[in-house]
Amino acid sequence: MRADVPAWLLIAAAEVTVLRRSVFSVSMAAVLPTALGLLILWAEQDTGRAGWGAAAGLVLVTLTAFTAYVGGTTTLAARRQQFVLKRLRMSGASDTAIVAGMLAPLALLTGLQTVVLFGILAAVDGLAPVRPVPLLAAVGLGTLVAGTLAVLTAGFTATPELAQLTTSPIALAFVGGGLWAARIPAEQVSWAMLALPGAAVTQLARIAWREPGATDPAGAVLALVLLAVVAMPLAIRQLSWDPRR
Amino acid sequence: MAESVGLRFSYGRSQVVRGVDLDVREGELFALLGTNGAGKTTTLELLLGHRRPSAGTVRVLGRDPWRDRRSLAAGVGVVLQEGGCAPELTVAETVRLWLRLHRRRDVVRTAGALLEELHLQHRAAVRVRQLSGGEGRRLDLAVALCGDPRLLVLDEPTSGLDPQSRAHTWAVLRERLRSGITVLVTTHYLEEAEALADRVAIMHAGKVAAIGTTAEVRESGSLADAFHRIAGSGQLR
Repeated sequence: MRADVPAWLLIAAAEVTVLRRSVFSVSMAAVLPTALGLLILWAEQDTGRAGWGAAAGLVLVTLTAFTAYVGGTTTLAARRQQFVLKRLRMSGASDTAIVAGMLAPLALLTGLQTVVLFGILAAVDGLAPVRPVPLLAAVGLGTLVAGTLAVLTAGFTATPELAQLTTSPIALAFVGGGLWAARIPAEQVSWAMLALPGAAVTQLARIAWREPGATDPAGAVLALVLLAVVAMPLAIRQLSWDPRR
Repeated sequence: MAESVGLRFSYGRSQVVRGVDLDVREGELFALLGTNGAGKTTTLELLLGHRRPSAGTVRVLGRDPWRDRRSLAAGVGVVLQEGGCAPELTVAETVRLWLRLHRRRDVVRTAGALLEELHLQHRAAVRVRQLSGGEGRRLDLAVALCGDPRLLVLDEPTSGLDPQSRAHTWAVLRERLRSGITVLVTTHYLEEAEALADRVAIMHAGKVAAIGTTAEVRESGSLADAFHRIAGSGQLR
């Protein structure tokens, strides 16, 4: 590897190695959300009630909530407990680079899970998204917001075991927002609802699959960008790097 | 190289560093001694910019470590009391990661040389979590040396090492001192501090109770006598 590789990428590469060797962590982060996503797609195929766009949105919300958010919180709490975060702060890497490096593998995993599940959807049912850009925005921004919330939650999560508890309210709100948006017609999704990241991600997926009434991605994109831009610096600032603090 | 004046820090209402004045000079080995809870580790963390002082000034390599923590990283090698290497990486992967983070060239060869210097080359492929306590401390020192630092800050680097490993670690430090590096170390091993340090400071209850060359601090008796006189404690090895 060349010497001028950015610090976040070096940390991310090391984190991939760490995750690869933690069979339990990888299976929890990879298998469980993928299985839940498959379950949602299967239910939609069986009932046809939500519409494929909304079902795809719920799959995305599930992946970002469990893989990126819960997995991210657990990872940060675990590395802090091992004093890895504190040690890395003495490497010259910025706080943002350390956090980005720690969360990048889970963001990548979220992307891979999305490709697998939507690949299955396209292959089995021939239901590829009509507008790929809103879908990319949903995956990218949804993962970014989930990462931001993971940093925020890690601030008050003392141990990785405790992450199972501390992530529950936000994970439920994330998924709940998606369900709320999915239950009503796309044109009736309000700005206030889009403030919930799960609702914004679901709305973008509905636009990607061109559901009736789902046309303008601007509101959902703006809500997710605002959330990430405002919350990420605050989240990093309040993150504790030392388990004894 | 590192100095503090009137340094203070509190955990909530508990003041653990209460006006510490230190001056670590270039090229010396400076030992910071004290009982558990005397404030040594917190003082080091303040010098490293890991905590923000509630009062006083700190300068390390001429900079304020709280403001310039990132730029100081290249010049300051650190061994934390707790280690901090990822348990699932191997020894070689860990050293190579830190060499790359410090933008060193010729990473594979330099990692090999560092592992050889610390007698860890035979453990290169072993995961960190499988190392013995002593091997882990030697890896911590290897990581601290990855940036080719001018100042080494070591928090109990020989804690948990067998006598042979301790002797080897001190030999490594002596060799580095000869090449011009400065070492600030905390230790509980008073006989080692007496034999190896150029100057020592004894901390007690968050303050520096004595500072100077070992001869100045021990006065007529041994360093241990001076320590017991100051700390009034029987918990030292």
